Amino acid sequence: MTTPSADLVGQPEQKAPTRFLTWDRIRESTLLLILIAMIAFFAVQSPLFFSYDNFVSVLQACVVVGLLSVGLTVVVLTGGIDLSFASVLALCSVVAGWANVVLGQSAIVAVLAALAVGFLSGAINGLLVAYTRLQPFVVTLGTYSIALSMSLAVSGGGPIQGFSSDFLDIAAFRLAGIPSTVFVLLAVIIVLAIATKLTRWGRFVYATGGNEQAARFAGIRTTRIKFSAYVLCGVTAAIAGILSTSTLQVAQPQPGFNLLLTAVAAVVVGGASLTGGIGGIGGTAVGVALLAVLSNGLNVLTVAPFIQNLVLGVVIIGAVLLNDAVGAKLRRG
Amino acid sequence: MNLAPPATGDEEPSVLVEARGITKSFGGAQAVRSATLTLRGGQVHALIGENGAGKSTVIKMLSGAERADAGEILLDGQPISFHSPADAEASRITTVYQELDLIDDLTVGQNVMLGREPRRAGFLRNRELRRQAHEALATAGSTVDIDASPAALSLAQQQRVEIARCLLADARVLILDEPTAALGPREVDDLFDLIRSLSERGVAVLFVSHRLEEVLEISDVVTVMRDGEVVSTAPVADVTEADLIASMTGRVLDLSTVRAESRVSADIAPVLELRRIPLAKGELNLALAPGEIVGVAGLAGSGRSRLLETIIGSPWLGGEIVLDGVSYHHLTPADAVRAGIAYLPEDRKRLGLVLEADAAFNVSLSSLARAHSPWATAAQDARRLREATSRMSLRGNTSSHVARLSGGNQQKVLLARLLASRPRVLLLDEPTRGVDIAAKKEVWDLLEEIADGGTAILMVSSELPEILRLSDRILVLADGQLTAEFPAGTSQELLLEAALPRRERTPSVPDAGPNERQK
Repeated sequence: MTTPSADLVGQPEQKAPTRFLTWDRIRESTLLLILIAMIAFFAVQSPLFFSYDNFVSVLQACVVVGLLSVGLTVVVLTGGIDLSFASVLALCSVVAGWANVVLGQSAIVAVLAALAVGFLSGAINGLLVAYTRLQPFVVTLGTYSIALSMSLAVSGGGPIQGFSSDFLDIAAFRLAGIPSTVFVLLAVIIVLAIATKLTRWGRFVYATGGNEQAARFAGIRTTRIKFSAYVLCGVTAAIAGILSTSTLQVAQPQPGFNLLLTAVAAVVVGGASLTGGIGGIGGTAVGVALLAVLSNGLNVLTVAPFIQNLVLGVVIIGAVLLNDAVGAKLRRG
Repeated sequence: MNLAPPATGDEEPSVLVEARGITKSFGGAQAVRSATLTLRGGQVHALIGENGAGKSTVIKMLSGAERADAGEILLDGQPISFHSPADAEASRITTVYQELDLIDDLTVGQNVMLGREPRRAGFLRNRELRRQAHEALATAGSTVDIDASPAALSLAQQQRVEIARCLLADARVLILDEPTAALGPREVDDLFDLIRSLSERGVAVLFVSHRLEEVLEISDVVTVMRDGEVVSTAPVADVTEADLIASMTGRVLDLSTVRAESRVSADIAPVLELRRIPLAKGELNLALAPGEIVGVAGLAGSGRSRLLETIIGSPWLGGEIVLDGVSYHHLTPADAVRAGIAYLPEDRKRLGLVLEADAAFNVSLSSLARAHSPWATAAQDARRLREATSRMSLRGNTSSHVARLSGGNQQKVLLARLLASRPRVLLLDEPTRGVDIAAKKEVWDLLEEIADGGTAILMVSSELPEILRLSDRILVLADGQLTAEFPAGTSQELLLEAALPRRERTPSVPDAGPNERQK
């Protein structure tokens, strides 16, 4: 027998530093380096890029995709997927528009109505995924279609305009030129980062996605954890719907198809594994920023749109390959 | 030592396959040590031993599923090296595993012909396929419809389909892994008729079984393995059941490592009472005193793991559980952990660990499930890991994925999880499975220490020395029912005898439907 204190938990003196160099951290910092390199590249290529105004517009471009992506990240961490969020966003937008424009309710009522619809949509996804054996891909593909249909029904098929000024004020407020919507995104990111990293619930989210059976036998109510993730994703979609409606001053009943792809892309570029348990809110936030900078930079350089999509595709696959390589290296140690 | 008779006599059937000194280790633990086995054409060779004796590993090396670390396998006197089961099959060494792996989405005929489909110009010749499949099934003594789905067949019928596959490969060697485990008596007789007819045609049959009476009935030669080594090979005519049991358990047990008598007195109020917990056959009524260790001995397929899963409600099948005077009429695994019943699953990678997370994360899960605070910090995790591991030595880099730890250390991480949640009762399924001998001893000492602290332990194990070393009381399971209860200090032989499945205890299931299939 060796002395117990010597070989407890590795060496005590090396424990503190290693704790900071987790896999996620290394991967996030690799992504961060790529982001910085990308910014430097565009800055050298075009003076228009590296300006405060452009910086603000990049941030603004992050808001909707960012909100959707962080909500989706939680679902992906549990080992699930949500495809319905884009049409849930549209449904929440037109519900807010219907409450505010058609019924003449105040902004607060419109916001609460949109949040309630997002919550309910998420709850329906969550119930079906967590309490039946249906696959999340199938469930949310179905609810995508249902929410889209409801959105068209509520709006009568066209966009809703004529919002009250208090509703439009939500996105109109600016601090140092930065719109309030960016601060909402930051707040959501911070809250979710804390929730996933520092709470019991967050642990259970990771454990459920990492090994659902093991989590169950360790005492975790995995069905509730999965349910909560979908509800959360519905709520972030509702917030995104409210903010985009207030910014654009119009509620669109049909979501852009790109929204779905970009949000999923941001999540995987950010290092989340679609099999669950790996990734994080921080990584996704960097992924969102990376895609926004790329798209903005290519626009500033007036690269043709069909080339832009090509670059986007290459970046998505390249980033995932890189994540995989870093991960494999760290696993082998 | 090699007791196989020399292959010189004229009447001796010719040697087909010879394994010489084959050795295999998994993660530092030697599963098979220098095993020697000789299979002759026309002979039925039985391979027996307790769980973990190394039988499965030997089969896997012969069938190409695993490669031997050392030693050689000779086919017709020529050394061969298999890289995959397909290689072995090409050499006409075929295997029917206990876990049958027919593809439900294909028909019986397609399963039989899988990988051997007759083709012309790239197109399947369906009529030819059906003809050949039919012929192979008939030779295997099966009358099932070749267009049926395997899912609709009984286990015995599925086994025939697998054997038909082997016959199509023109098997010279047929390895049968526990072929009778799921069969009723009549089906066993049918299978034996088939084995005899194959044997008469010159096929060498390797028959792995726990059922000694069957071994004595069907085999010509029997090899006994124990603790990874071949301990004897002898003609069946020369041995009795008692001889075989003695060889199987014959390891020298240091008597000082066997608990002589119970550490707890009978009159203490129980911490856990199990009432009418349904088993596959019959039910379980058991009271555990604080600090008591009850061992459950049983061979593979005896329902050992099922028993513990039933107690924690995965799924709940009925009965009643009283923990510290609180009665539960329904539990889920999460309820059980929260109530203070911690469970250690046998398959730690699939059911125990979050492999891509670090040790502290894994250790904390059950404590968090029992905690009231909504917060969870890395500092708390590290403290839990430190506390739990102050009672055991955890080696390896605990800040990286637990996937990278050795089996023993992974097991300690799981035990640390159980301890950290301060449970009242531990339910342990094979607590030292796949753990090297030094770590085993540590785990045993730790379990005794935990029990001395007042925690009751119900431990399922297929390793009799482990049961005898730790248990204050021993229950024996065979064929899904309790067959015996022993006090501490009983013998390996008595335990094994109670644990061996007996044919008279197995009810006949002539036409077990799809419901009887194991998942």
